[in-house]
Amino acid sequence: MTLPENFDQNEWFIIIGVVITYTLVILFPKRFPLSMVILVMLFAIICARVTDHMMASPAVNYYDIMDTGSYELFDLLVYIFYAPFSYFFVYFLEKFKIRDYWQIGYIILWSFIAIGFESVNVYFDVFNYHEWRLTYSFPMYFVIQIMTMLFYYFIKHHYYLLKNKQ
Amino acid sequence: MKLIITIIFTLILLMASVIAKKKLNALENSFLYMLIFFCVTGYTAIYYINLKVWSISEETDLFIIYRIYEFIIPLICLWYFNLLNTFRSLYKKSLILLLFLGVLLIIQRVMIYWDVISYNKWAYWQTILTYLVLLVVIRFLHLLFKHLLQKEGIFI
Repeated sequence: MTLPENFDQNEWFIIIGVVITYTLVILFPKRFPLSMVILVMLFAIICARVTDHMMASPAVNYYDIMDTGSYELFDLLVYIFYAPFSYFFVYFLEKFKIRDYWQIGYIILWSFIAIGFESVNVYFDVFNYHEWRLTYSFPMYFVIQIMTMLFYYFIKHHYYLLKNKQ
Repeated sequence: MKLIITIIFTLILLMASVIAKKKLNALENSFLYMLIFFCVTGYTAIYYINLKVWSISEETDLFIIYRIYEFIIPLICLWYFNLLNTFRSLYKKSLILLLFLGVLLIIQRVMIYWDVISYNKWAYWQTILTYLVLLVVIRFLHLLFKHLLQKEGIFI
């Protein structure tokens, strides 16, 4: 993995962002077992990786992550930075006991939060668009939030199923 | 034709993976698949974008095959980790490792034969070494995750 060409605002944004978000994850009262937290966060990393792999590769290059189109060390940190957002997504889903049709509104709300977060990333040059627009990201986030919710219900179901088998 | 063969093979593999009785639980399988996928897309990106020791075909059909290949490898590794738990003796575990390294290498060989991947200053033994490191690292992380599940009261 290559190191950044210039250590500037985008690298600092990622480092500070990672520290703040993970501190919040640690400080928030625990609602899930650690294994479920790892799986949910890993799922967010995979979603981000798949999306970037499909749309920010040399063959199909709608945007670059960080300074260059190559796979940088900070690209990895960007994925790690994204992981806590899926944690907060399921955290508040459980905290406010959002069920039935309210889940659709919750997904839409989080898609807007994700768009807002991406615009901050764009401002700090974490994403450099070529043929991409911020509005294109909305349906992407919408689908990813649905998948995250389904994945969360899947692992929750299996977790308690396995636990009750003991 | 190459793309059709790849799609059919992938669908058969996918169906078999879903139907097959697994030795690991759903949480472990999810963890392993995601982790392996992340590692595979990571090291292949380093090989063909950063180091340029691999070249990936720019032909649309072949490029789609390459993307499917990145999806297949974690699936095959998942079979390996499920089978690994079936055997207890080190001898049988070593045989399974050799068998799966062989399978992974054959798939890579097909990718090269079809011109999906081309090697530049790269050799097969380096591919084998990559797979070996990948399987060892994933195994280590899997054991850590299993230990965590056991601490939480899940022993299956």
